[in-house]
Amino acid sequence: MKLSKALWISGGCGALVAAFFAGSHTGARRVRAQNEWTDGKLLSSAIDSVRANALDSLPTDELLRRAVSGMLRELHDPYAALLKPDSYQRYRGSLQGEGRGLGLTLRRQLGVVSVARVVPNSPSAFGGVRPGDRILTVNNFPIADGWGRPASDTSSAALDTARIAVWRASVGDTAHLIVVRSEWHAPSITDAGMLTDSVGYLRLGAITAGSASELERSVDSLLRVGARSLLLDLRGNAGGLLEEGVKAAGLFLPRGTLIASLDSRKGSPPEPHFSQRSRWTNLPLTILVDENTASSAEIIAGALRDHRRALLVGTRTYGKGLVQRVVKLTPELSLRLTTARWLTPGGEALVRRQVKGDSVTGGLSPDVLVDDATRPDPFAMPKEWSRTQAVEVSRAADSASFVALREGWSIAPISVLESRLGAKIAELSPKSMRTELARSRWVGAGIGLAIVRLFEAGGSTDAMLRYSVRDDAALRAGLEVLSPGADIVTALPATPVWDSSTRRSPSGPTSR
Amino acid sequence: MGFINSAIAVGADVTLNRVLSVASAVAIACSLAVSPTVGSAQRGMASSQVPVKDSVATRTMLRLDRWLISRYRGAQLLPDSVGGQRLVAAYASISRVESVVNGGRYDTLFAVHFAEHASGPALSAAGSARLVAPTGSASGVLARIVARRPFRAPRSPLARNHNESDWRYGWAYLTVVPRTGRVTPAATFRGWLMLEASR
Repeated sequence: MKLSKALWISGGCGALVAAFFAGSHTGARRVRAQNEWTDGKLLSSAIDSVRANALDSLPTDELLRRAVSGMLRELHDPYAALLKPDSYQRYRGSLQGEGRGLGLTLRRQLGVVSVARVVPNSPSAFGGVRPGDRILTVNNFPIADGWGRPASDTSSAALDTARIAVWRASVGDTAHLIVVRSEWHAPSITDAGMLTDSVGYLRLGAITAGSASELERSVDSLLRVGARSLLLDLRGNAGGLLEEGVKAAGLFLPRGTLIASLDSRKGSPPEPHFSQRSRWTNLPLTILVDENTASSAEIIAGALRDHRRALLVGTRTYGKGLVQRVVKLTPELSLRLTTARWLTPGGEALVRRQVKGDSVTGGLSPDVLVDDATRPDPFAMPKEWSRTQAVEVSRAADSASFVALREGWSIAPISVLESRLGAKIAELSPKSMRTELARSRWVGAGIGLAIVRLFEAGGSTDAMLRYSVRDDAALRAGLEVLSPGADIVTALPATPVWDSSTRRSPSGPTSR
Repeated sequence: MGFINSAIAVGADVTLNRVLSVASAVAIACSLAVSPTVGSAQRGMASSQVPVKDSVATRTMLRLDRWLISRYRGAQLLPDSVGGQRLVAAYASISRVESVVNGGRYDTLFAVHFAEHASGPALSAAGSARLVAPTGSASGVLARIVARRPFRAPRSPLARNHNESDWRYGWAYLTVVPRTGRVTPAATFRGWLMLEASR
């Protein structure tokens, strides 16, 4: 009897305690709701007050939008933004790999606009535009007018159909092309080819929907043509979809390997992401990175580095260890917020790259450090050259390349071609190039320009890729890891026939 | 073949590098077979820490070694067993200038070339090299080779010490060229080739 009484008493006390806690919890919630209501009212009152009293007010919806923008700014999240429909579409399109514009990369040099690159599957590719084409008119307007905007921007040209007149060096005549603007998928693999007989090269330009499958197909194609090792170029890759990055890294690791973990704000344990589809766990692999390698591209590089699967070559990466999500607020407005931080398999959280004097911190640290890992522009002229000098060397290169095309010079062996071009260009060297060094640089720049024009005209993308190894320090360093001592384009530097003083061949190390 | 040091962290402190570099000469003479792990490398160095005169040559070699170690993580420095002799083989890649440092009267150029095997050819120590543009146009500029260092660097992150195919063998050079005025910055020579100048 006493026992049951005690049980009743203790049960009653328990119920009272539970009721107290439940009540206090409900009370706390009520207080919080009241606070939120008060804060909401504060915002509403502030907007009303601005509308009623401010000298220069704005419509309510605009004031609200700006209030949200201000709030996001105060979060100090550099990636947070309120997205309007067009920005949202653009952001979504960039992640989905939706192609924009005509799919052309133009090069404006000394008043001449030429095509530097045509994106595969783009309207320009279907329209027959080729790298190296010089654009004369667009819709009968001289290109000098630049579509009414900078020539490098073809993304928002007004018309759906562009009638482009080009001058094509390989035929020595003009061609008229019709490019119809349409929806297209921009490929993630922007360059692919063989650097040597056994080293394949792939450049992953962005990580969008389907990138991992695209990478898989491209590696398969390279292996079919004899690649026994792979150089994966992630330079300039600003990332994209996290899931695609995880899938892409997983291709080179055993199934079930940890690729990255997401550490969200809730204090819960990091959410691991494992490789799903494994393909090449033993293929020798080297990865090129630079200061613009970011986000998902860093996930790939970080996972393959931490699992000791690949050497990284280049410079410290960007260091974007954050993940964003987009939340739809209204049918028109969306909110992009940083919601998590990702960790490498080794548990490293990346921080932004910082340069202080000679010291560089943050990002992923490469295994082979290169002074300047950026992809060089073959058309860049030395800074100290005057415009006249640049024009002269460009004209000389044009002239030499036209002669080579007309006479059908072979591009192999490259040293012979360089030597012949050099002789032509040297004949045109200006008197201002007084010293042997100055003349050598001038002729060297001219040979480089002429060769690129020849390769563009001949559509020799593989040859162009191999040739670019010479001036691309990171590519060279990466190739040297996979194939040490590989003689780039199997060429001993040509003996310059234009300079009698150098005909005495130096007796240095020789080459194949 | 003895490894002078190994797996030194990038940015390792100067003192350690100095000890390693200074000790390297002694290590070569003693033909020490130093294990390539950090601990054993340091043990190997400890046995050879005898006072060595801090000459200009030593300082230059130290500078080259520091550049090499910071550039190729996991690189192991090897003794220059051929001394001042020149080795020219029929098959070799050509040295390229990889880094440049502007100086007052002289600019410093660091150059490297690799081979698959240890017995790769080299430019002669204390010799001269002709600078040639990547396209093959000779410049007439001669670089003086001040120091050279054979080394090996890993070809994969899991390079096993005794597996030759996991490594590549290189020669690194520290060379100087006289400044030719403000018109030609030293950075011009980055990526240029170095061919042995005829004697």
